[in-house]
Order: sequence, then C-alpha cells, then structure tokens
Amino acid sequence: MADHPSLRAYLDSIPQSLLRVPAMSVLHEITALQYSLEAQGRRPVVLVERPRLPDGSDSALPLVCNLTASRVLTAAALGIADHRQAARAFAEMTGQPIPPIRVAMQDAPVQQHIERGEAASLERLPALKQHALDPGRYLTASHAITIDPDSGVDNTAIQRSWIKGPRRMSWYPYPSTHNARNLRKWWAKGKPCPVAFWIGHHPAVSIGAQAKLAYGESHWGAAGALAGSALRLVPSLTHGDALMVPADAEVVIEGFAPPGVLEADGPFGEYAGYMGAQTLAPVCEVTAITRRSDAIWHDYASGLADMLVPDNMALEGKLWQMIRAVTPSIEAIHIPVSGRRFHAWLQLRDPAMGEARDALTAALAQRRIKMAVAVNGDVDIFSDADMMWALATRVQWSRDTFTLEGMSGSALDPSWAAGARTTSKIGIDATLAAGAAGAGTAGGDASVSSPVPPPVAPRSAVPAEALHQAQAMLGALQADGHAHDWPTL
Amino acid sequence: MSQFSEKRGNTIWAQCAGCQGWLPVSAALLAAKTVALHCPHCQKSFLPEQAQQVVRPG
Repeated sequence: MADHPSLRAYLDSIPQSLLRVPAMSVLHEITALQYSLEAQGRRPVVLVERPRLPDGSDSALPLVCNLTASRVLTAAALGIADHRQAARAFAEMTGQPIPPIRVAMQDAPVQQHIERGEAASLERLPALKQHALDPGRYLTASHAITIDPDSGVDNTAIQRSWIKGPRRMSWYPYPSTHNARNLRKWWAKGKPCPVAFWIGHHPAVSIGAQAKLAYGESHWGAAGALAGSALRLVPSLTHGDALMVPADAEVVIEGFAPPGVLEADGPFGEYAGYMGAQTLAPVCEVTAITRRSDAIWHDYASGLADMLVPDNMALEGKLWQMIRAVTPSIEAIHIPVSGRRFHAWLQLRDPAMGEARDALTAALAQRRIKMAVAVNGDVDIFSDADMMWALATRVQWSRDTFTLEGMSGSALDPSWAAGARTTSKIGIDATLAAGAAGAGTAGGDASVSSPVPPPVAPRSAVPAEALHQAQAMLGALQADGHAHDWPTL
Repeated sequence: MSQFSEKRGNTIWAQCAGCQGWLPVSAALLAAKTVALHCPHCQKSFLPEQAQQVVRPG
C-alpha cells in the first residue's frame, strides 16, 4: 500500500469497481440505489458526483457509498488475498499494532479547509436521509472519538449522528460502548465531553479502527496494522493534542457534548433490518468542521452489506481469537450478511471429540452472536445453500444442539420479550461423525481411496472431467447469448 | 406458560399529537418525561404526556 493511505487513493485503485452517478438527492434516492443494487446482488462502489441537498443546491462534496458492500473487494483493501481467510488474517494483523505518528497541521490534508464557530455548517454536508421513518439526515460513517478523562486514552467507534441544525446534532453511543463510558466519566465530573468525528478514509483504516478491543485500548494501532503503515494523526483544532484525529481523513467535525443534555434520537433503520426506536441520546455542539479542500463524503447504508461486511469482518477477527484459544481445529469463520450480525458459521478441520461444542460455546460468548453452527471443511461456509444442506443432513436436533439462556445480546431483535435484558442462544454441531470428514469431500470417493471406509456415505458428485466438459459447453452457450432468458428460480 | 414464552412483540409506539402518525419509542425516552419526542412524519416535537396514544406490547 502506498504511503498515506486515504479514501481517494483507494478509489483511484479500483476504477473497474466504481459506479459513477452524476447527481442524486440526499433524501432517500442514494440509499434506494443501494437497496436496488443489493437486490440484484451487485456490489459496485458508488460515487455520486453532485449530491443534491434538500434545498435543491448541489453539495460541494461528492459522496461515496457502497464502499465496503463487496466482501471480496473489502478483503483485498485490507491486503487479504482470500476473503475466506479474513478471520485469521484480521486477528493476526490487529495482534501486531503499529503505533500512530503525530504530524503538524500543515501536513494534515484534513485541515486544509477550516470552518470555525458560526462559519461551520453541518447542513451543507451531503449527509443522507436513508429510510422512510428516519427523522432527518444522519452521519452514518462517522467515527466518534472520545477520551477517557482519567487515563487520557482515546477511543473511536462508528456511531450515528442526526443533524439537527448548523452546529447541533444528536449523537448515539449505545450505553454499553466505550465512548458512552467515557462520556459518563466526563459528565460525572460536571464537564462537557470533548468529541470529534472523522469521516472518509481508506477502508483498511476505517475497518481497523473498528477492531473489537478492550476498554482502555486505543484503536489507532490496529488501524495502522491493517493499513500497513503508521496512521498519521494531527491535533484537533478544538481539543489540541488531547484528542488527535486522522490527518488523512476527508472531514472532521469537532465539538462538545454538554453534561446531562439528552434529546430524542431516531427512529433509525438499524443493522438488524428493523427500525430502531426513538431513544435518548447526548448532543454534540459543533465548534469546528475541518476537511480536505476537495473532500469526499462517505456514507454507510445502515442494514445493508455496505455496513455489515466490514463490521462482520472485524467481528470474525475477534471470534478467531476467542475460538482459537480453545479450539485448535478452527479453520475459518464467516458471519454472513444474511444473518445480520447474529449468525456465526465455524469451519473445523478434523475436530477432536468435544471440540465443536467448545468452539460453539466460545462463539456464543460474543454479545451479538445468537446462533453458531460448526461444520467440517467440505462445507462452504460462504454459501448459505451449503450451510442449509449441512443443517439438513448432519444434525439430530435433540443430540446436536444446545441452548444458552440469560446471555447478553442485541435488543434490536423483534423476538425479544418486552422488557427482557438478555437473550437465548443456540449452538448447533453440524459436523460429521469422527472419522467421516473424508466422506464429505466434494468429488471425493473415500470408499475407494481410504483403507477403511468412513462411517457415513460419500457426498454425491459427478466425475471432475465430466463436470469440466459441461462447464465448458455452458460457457460457450452463454458467450453466444443463449442463456439470456433462462429462468433463475 | 411464563410471560417470556409467549410472543407478544417488544415495540412501544407513540402517536403524534399533531399528525396522528406513529413512531416507535424506547421505554427510557418515555420514562424521561421531560425530553420531547420528535415525529418523523411531521417533524413536530411533543412531550410524552402529550402523545395522542402510547401502545405497549402485550
């Protein structure tokens, strides 16, 4: 990766994956395009050159979205050649943090253009109103930075903000987050909480900053590790060295959350695919907006692959650390977009007796994971169809499942009982009987090659040569346009 | 059968005093009492006690 990773450098590197749109409204239209692309299973990065603001004028900032909707593209942005190995790679990279470096203001592109005080206006930013029931325009790809007033250690996390005026927005750090913990500490001292939001960076930096860390651990090292070089930080205009911001980001919004001030925030379309209820949130009173002179705005489509893919990839890295500690046979992990953030597919290689359940239990200890399924190496955990096949043919429900009650979870789940504070989880061992893994190998014929036949029947398959011939014939027909009207369902 | 073994839903709805539109709200927001709700349909703000109706699950 070149020096100074940035969003613009990344976009320049993927011209073939870019969908350029001349102009669209920030009110629903751009998000509707993402919904339409997702329905078609197409995942280009979308660049809207002239986002149209609610007053009909064009924003000075172009907008990029769908940046991380493609798992393959996102893994490549992290330097991971095979997205199937993202869990292991993510864990290894974030386990070797690269400390950030400090740069001067004149070397920080994000401070090329400065709006302070009355000159600052959130309303000129091309923030989107995404869903029908959203009350207004939201910052969705904004990483909020706070600092622990006791230790001085910073924390950064993606948290939404609703623009309520030129210099006022609600900001929703979920109560269990580290930013909310820092906020409460400031407020307990009777002081406003310093905060800054950075928007737009190379996906490796943005995703690295989402690494799941313990309270008191700064995320900059993980961001640098994924980007392959030390992240460049610059003192914020408002908070100075106490609160540093990424020098190569596109936009930074600085301000304070005044103590005890809470306002309504939401409803907002959440990752689970439902509207989250309107709730209490602190507000940010903006003191300054800094940006590149030709800044690009970044938006995440909440609840679509655009946002789920990077967050799930970071979660896969965390699960890898948790499961690897107890299950050496873990080979790969997938948190599929189809399950939002609630499902974890675990691939094991020749697990010893009991190891599948060890892995499942470790996965279910993560707050968001509600169902974990363990399979053998012959099952493609990146194919929902393959996972359904394994569940259909390798599980006796009374023998191979277990439930856990009273676990922490996400309340953004309509199945929760009203007032409940914990959730119910399930682990499913869909591995084959010990010694049977070879029988499941696609195209394999373990009954012939093994000295002792496995205890289950081999997987059905046609000979490889016949399969290659059929694929070649279909390829030729499709090249001639014969497949155009064939039904797909 | 305990209350947690029945499916009753978990969303609290408030009805806007102005446009009669419905919005999902959290129990914490209603409990705050002095924090105004904001209608996403008509952009009107109103206190919880001013809601036309509040419907709770079950």
